[in-house]
Amino acid sequence: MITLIRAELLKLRTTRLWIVLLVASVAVVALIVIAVLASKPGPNTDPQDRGLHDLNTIADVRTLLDIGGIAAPLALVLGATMSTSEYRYGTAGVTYLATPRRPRVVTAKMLAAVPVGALFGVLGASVPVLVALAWFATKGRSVPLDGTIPLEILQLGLQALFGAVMGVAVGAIVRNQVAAIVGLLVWGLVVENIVSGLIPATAKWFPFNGAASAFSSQASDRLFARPEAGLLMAAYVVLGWALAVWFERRRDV
Amino acid sequence: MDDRPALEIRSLTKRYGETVAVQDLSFAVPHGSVTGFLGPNGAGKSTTMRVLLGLAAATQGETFVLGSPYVGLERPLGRVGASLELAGFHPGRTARNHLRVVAMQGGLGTGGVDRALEATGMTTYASGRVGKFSLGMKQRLALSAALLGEPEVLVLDEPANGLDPAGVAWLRSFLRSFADNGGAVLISSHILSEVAEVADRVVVIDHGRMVHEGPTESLTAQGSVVIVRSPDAARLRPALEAQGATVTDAEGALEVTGLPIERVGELAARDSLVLHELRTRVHTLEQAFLSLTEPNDDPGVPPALPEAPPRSDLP
Repeated sequence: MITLIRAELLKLRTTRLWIVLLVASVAVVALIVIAVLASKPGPNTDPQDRGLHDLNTIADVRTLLDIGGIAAPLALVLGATMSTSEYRYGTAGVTYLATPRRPRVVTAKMLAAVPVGALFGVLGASVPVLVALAWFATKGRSVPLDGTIPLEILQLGLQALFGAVMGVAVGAIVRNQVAAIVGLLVWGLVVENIVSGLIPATAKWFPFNGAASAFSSQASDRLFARPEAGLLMAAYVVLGWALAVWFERRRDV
Repeated sequence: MDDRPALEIRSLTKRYGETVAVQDLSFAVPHGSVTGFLGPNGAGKSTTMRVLLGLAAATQGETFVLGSPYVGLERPLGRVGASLELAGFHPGRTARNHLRVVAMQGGLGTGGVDRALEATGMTTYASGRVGKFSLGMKQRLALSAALLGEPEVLVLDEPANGLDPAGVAWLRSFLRSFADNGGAVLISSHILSEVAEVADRVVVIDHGRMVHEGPTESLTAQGSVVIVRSPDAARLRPALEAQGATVTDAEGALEVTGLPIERVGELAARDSLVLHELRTRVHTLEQAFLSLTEPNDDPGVPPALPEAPPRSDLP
């Protein structure tokens, strides 16, 4: 299994998409953070947003960290392409000739998505801190940091790796690259929010805005206690794996 | 050497909904031989190979590779090399990286990558991105992947497509040498001449059904006709037809199918008929192939077929 995971990581490393998405996520996060820090708060600015400009408290830094959450949807997209590229470029046949036991391939892809998603999440969440440190250093002042900040960064990494792993599973189920990516983004960014708004009781059961948001740095976003949310996320991963295996095993390549 | 055939297909049927792609197909590929798998486009060759290699599920029947279903082989790339038509490559990956990925997936290690590239003349293009390759270069790369594990069996689907004449000559020579060293090769093509020079045996299918199986020379025997010229043709003709032959006029002679030349001579002698010419006209391989795989308006009905020779190699 270790060799198969390495093979999946080699597939990623030998194409350009992963680095394009990673650089894009870092660049977008950095630009947004710079825009936030550079803008001048007005008299009607929300107190929480005002804190973002000054970063006087740990809570302000945590709020800024959430901008790094942009990396999670990109990790989701990358995860989906790890599966769908096999069908888009017709390499699934080559893969299954080398590894005819398809559940092993699905498992290896999902496990390979773990470090990839974590990299996106951790890097994305680190960028706001690094940009803020550099920004305020030029102004001769420091940014308040404590031991909770690395933990918050790791939690954002967990959200992104969850997205990447689910992306792999959904990509294997759907197979069509555009449909998988658009479907996942519409689901996470639109459908979950609309249904949660209409039926609030359902909100916490959704994978992305429900379970994964338990690992947000903002307490107000947490709809679940983290242990329970972690269990729900694990259940989603197992369900995604089972469905992906079911579809892959029945598919003529 | 293992007594079992290298590849074996037993009563294979593959349907896609209402469409029958392969119907009740059985044949075997022995070790130490090249078997040409022939048929027109859409005959079911690629589907058969995909089922054989575990990429598609059989509707009925069984397939075996080295005595086991393909999915049951441990590290299959070390035993079977396959190059499938429309085999995919990520266009952004280099040739060398494509092989590194295949090798790692197959548990082979990446030590044989350069050797496989060299074997197919791809060393020069190792760092080129596959998206910029010609069809012929992609075919060579697919062959490199098939050779990575130094297998004992090769399953090649239309491997000569896109190869230049030198490439086709190299392929024939390589396959001959591979089989002479004990390897088994199943090579498909819709162009008979591509494989006739190298194949020891041929399996011809059309509309998913077997229409001929045997040594390559048997193709021409199947398509041969007897030419007989006689001043007594008017009397000879009914005598031949009475024996079940089909007789047609051809440039002052009679073309006889369905009777061996010896029997035609015997019938003429029996009735004291004078013959000016008696010979067998052997079809060219292409003519024989075409006669076996004539276009048919109804894809569900195979053309009238000569009977395949009896099979003794399947249990």
